[in-house]
Amino acid sequence: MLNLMKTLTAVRGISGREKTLSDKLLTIVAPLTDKCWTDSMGNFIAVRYGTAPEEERGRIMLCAHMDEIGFLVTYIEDSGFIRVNAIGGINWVAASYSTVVFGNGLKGILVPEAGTAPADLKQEKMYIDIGAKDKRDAERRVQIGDFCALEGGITRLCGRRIAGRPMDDRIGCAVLVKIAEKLKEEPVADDIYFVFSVQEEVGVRGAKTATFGIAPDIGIAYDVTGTGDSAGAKPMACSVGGGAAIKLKDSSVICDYELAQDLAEVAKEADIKHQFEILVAGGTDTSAMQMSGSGCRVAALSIPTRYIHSGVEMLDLNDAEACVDLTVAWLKK
Amino acid sequence: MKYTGLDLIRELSLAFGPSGCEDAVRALIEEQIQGDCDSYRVDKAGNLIAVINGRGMDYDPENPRHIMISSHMDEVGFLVREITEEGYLKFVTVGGMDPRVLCGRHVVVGEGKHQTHGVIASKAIHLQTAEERSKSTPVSKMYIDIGAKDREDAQKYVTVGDYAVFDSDFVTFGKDGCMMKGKALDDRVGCALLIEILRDLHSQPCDLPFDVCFAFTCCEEVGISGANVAAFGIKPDTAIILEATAVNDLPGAGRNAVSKQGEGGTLSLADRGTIYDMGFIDFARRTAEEHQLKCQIKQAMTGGTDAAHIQRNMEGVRVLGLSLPTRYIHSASNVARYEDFEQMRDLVIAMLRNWALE
Repeated sequence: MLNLMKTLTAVRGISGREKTLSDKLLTIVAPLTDKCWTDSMGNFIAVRYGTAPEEERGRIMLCAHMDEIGFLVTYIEDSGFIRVNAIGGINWVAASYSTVVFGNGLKGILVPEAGTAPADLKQEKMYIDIGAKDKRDAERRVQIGDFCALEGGITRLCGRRIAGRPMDDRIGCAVLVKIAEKLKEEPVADDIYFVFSVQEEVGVRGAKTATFGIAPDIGIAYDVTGTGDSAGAKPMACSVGGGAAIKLKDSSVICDYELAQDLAEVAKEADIKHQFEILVAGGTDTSAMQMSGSGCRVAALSIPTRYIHSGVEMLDLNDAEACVDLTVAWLKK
Repeated sequence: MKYTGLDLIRELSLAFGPSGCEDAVRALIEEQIQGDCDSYRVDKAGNLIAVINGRGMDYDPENPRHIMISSHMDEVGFLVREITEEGYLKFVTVGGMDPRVLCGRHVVVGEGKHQTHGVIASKAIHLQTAEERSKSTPVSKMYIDIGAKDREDAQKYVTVGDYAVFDSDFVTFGKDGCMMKGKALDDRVGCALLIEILRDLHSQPCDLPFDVCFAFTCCEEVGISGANVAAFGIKPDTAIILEATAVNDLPGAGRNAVSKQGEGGTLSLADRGTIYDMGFIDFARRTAEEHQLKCQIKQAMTGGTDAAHIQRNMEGVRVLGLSLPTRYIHSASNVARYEDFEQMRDLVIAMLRNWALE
């Protein structure tokens, strides 16, 4: 899991520009599944066919988003400084004074205008310095419309805990890959669709069309969730290391209650560490799956994560593995 | 009567069509496309969809591919919500407008025979308090004066629920009349483009490997998006959305400028509703280069278009956003350059006739 996360966080995939990551995932997932394709929005989809007779097989969709938050270049100043627009929910305090990477590998630093008070940190006050001499020099390397993101990577902390970015949602992608590995060895009765979705961070866009195409009976989303266990956090009954978080609700969705109870029951029987999760602010692909086409029953297994949308998103790999184990145990049942 | 070029834009600009009341615009478009397309229909949401069928070796008549080209018919306007005892009309805006562009404007209330002229007004400056003077007057404190004696008199001409739009002449100005000014250029210029592209494909047929579906849509300005319904009915795999977008090339705009007039249509990379298909943008830029046509990249993420609803329809649709740089949109005097209109038209025609989207 750690090595997989190192691989997945090393590739940039800003909302709308997920191709490089999608190509990387193809090389990992194709050998584990029966068929892979990319739809018109760029969702990368793989299917592992079930063992039951074709007409009796259900369709189960497992979904994690590939995209990460980032920046779009909108203007290059005479000085060569680059102005950007946020793609997704950027926390400017967390993003300032950081290294950014462009699609072509070029690096720059994201900094605020001199004299900006921390409370005034916002898009209009920020620029990227790529070290260019002037506008002409900058334009040789960067164009209006290029995307960039904060540099990725992982730091190992105590035990099996790691910090870095983007955990949101490469950890979900990693969980899907691990489930695919297990189903490669031992397929289940139903057809399992692995969906690596696009454009979640800008409003759960990709999962909507992917679900319409697949028309699943059940959809499960894998994403990070907030926790109540960091200093000064608002009360929330979800913690890092507390196991797979079975979502009951977030601000975009009310999950299928029986499905959530069923997952908890399986977790108990198989002795897999788990907890329930109610996220007060934030949405996930779960809602897009629930309401696309003629709708489907949805659940979500979340990986509790501190400091989401910063450069040091922090989680426990044991929680991610609990999500893998719980899914496989539930699918077998 | 059939119109072309500037005359076509003029007629479309003058037509009455706030969101939810696009009938007059639709009737005008219906007249303009008569005999110029293979078929057309009006769906239940009120979208007008005209089709040019494909043909030739690569066209599959049993299971044809569809390409959607979309522009919205509706414009921003007003809705009468109350008639005061004194005979003034209180109103709400339909679509987003800066209240500061409203006062003193001439409007028409209602459609056709029942049409009444009026002026938007508010409390005179010398009657305003110091606080009122320092702020812009909210729409709730404005009214439309139709010259009625009292409520009873006003009710002879107007009913609560009537729509109103700006009354604004269509004029050309600048060197050789290169600039055009009128209301509702957002998005009647798009409708005019659709009509001219449709006529071009019809008058000089070529082997199109797909059906081209021209969607004139409803209710874009209020976010309801008739285009959503239109796309579901058409089932396209790709769509081009033709719009009018802000320019912001005003004195002192600096890095806030969105585009330049005279540089052709703007291609959107991302806006508040959509991140556009990069391959599609490359195809458009390549085509422009090959045919020596102008187009530019929109330098901002502001606004949103029907592309958002079309892109996430069904299994997803590849979308391209191409917009006419237009100053002062959502006011009585939109200003655009005719040359940019021609560049956009020729670019879309060149793309359709030489389709090579990878």
